[in-house]
Amino acid sequence: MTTVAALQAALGVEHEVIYGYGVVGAHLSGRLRARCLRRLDEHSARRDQLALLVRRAGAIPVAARPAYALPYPVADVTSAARLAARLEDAVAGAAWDLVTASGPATAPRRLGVSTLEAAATAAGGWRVLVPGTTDPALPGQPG
Amino acid sequence: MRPHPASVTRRTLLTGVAAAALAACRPRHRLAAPLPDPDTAALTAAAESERVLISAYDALTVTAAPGADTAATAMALAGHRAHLIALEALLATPTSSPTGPPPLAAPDQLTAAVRASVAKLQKAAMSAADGRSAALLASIAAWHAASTAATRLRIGP
Repeated sequence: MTTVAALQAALGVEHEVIYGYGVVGAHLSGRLRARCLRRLDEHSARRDQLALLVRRAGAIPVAARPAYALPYPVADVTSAARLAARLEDAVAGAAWDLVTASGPATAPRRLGVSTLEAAATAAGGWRVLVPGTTDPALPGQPG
Repeated sequence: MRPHPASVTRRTLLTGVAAAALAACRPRHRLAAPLPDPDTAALTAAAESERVLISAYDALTVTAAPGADTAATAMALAGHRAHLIALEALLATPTSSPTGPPPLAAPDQLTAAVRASVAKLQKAAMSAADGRSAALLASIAAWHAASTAATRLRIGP
């Protein structure tokens, strides 16, 4: 995978995650809703960083779709937290690919490394609300 | 989440058949080529750190006081063992065991050590010449950061 392809893939995931967090937030209140909104802001910022890096590489950033199908119904706090963890896991996966595809000490590598940390930490925070789930020992690892 | 097929990647959130088919196409980053020497040094250092942490958490398990959070210790041990296995798989050689007894460490000292390792691992990931090394080091750093954040959530305000 080239660096640009990894950036585009990560950008595509961020589009989905931003949409998904909109659904998640609709089922949360109080501190959890505030946490959701913080993550939404952070993902929006990361989307913009990814788009900028794609443009710098001479490509056109992939656009968001008007809507995305949910993997399962989200009806309460538990299912919303489960979706949020799933969203963050997808971000971690894209970040792993970005780190793999990018060169040492480059902006894409830096973004991938920081994204892995943020996504793993956020996913762990959401999983606390979902009984019977555990954090993967290697966030983002393929397979 | 189901985007248009043209935008489908291995990292999309599709479920079911499409996701399974895509997962089958994922590359396996295993020993396709020798690692550059600087990467070997960084991976070896990371493996040695994991061994020290495993020894320390093992010692903590043995000396755990009644009512101690053994589940958290077991989870930490499982995580660090998985890291060591992954590092040794990429290095293709077992690393040496730490010499001498593990340092005595209270749970909060161990948590601090894990937290302190994050920046070092991320620095190594940033400078790794091989993408496989970089991704593994960054992922271990991410788990260390997440696990210490979880600890803070449990014990902190």
